[in-house]
Amino acid sequence: MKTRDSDHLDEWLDKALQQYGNPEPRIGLESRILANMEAARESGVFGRPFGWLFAAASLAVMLIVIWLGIWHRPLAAPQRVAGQQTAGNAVPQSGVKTLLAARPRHTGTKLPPRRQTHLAHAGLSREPRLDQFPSPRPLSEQEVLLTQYAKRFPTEARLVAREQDKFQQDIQQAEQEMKDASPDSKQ
Amino acid sequence: MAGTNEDALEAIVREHARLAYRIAYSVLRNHHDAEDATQEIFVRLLRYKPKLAGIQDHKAWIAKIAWRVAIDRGKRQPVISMSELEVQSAAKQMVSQLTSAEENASGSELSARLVSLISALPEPLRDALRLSTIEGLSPAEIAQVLESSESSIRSRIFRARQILKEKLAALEGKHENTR
Repeated sequence: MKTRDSDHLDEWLDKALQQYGNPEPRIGLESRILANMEAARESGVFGRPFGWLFAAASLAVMLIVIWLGIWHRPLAAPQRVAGQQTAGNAVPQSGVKTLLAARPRHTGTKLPPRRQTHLAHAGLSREPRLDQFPSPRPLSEQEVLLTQYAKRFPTEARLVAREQDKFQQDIQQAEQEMKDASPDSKQ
Repeated sequence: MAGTNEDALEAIVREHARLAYRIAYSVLRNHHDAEDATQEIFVRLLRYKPKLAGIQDHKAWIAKIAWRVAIDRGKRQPVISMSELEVQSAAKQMVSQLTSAEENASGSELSARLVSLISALPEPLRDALRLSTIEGLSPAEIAQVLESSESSIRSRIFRARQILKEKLAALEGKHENTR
């Protein structure tokens, strides 16, 4: 009786285990796998040679672009101030100090120190180009020749300059004496 | 050369996709997860494409990869631990179905009950039994997958079956006594 039960259990277990271990997948499993493999092969950047290098280079370029974007971004406030200066044209054209002194004071909240510094720089950089400052007047032809002479013959140039000074002083002295001797001056 | 490799890969897929699927299913017990795991197994295979020519037993090799992938995925799944009471209740249901001639035909339901009993087995016995149920995997191939000896695998399978039978017999006896 026991052996019959045991055989019965064995038989049943075999059947149940066979069902347990051999499920049927959905139709077309192989095709789906092949399609997925093809897709993975096509899109797999890291499977290609130098794939990692390419990805790293792209990342580095992106980071540089972002960094440049952050640090060289113009601030809105300085532009507005500079715009007021140029539009009003009330700034006297006598140099940087005057320009900064004439800068309109901010109303409302105070900017942090760094922004104020930036503001000053922005004011400078956006100042309209002036006629006489900061570019110097170019030397005349005579001055250029004199400079060349002085460079070539410094001793002689110094003697000539001294003599010229002396001559100028003599002339001035003579003029003074003439003025003193004239009858108008006596009255 | 590349074309030959592609053809070899396709042949492997066509030949062993079902085996990989069944191994994955034996661990994950879910068609959707088993198919996902099978896809992963063959995408992994792409990495080893250059080495394909050097591999002698493709079947055992794929079975091993499939087992590892399935186990990894199984670890990520929430663990459903069964208490002794739950195991007994599952076995009772099986026994009652076993005695009924009508329900004996509905094997899928019995199989679902069997899952509970098998998952309650100790891990070495459970792994060997799970793989032994897969059609076409010999004890020698199971030994390769589980990195053990063939004789050890045979004894583990035998022991696992014994435990299952004992539980069923004990419960069947109780079932008959209560009638």
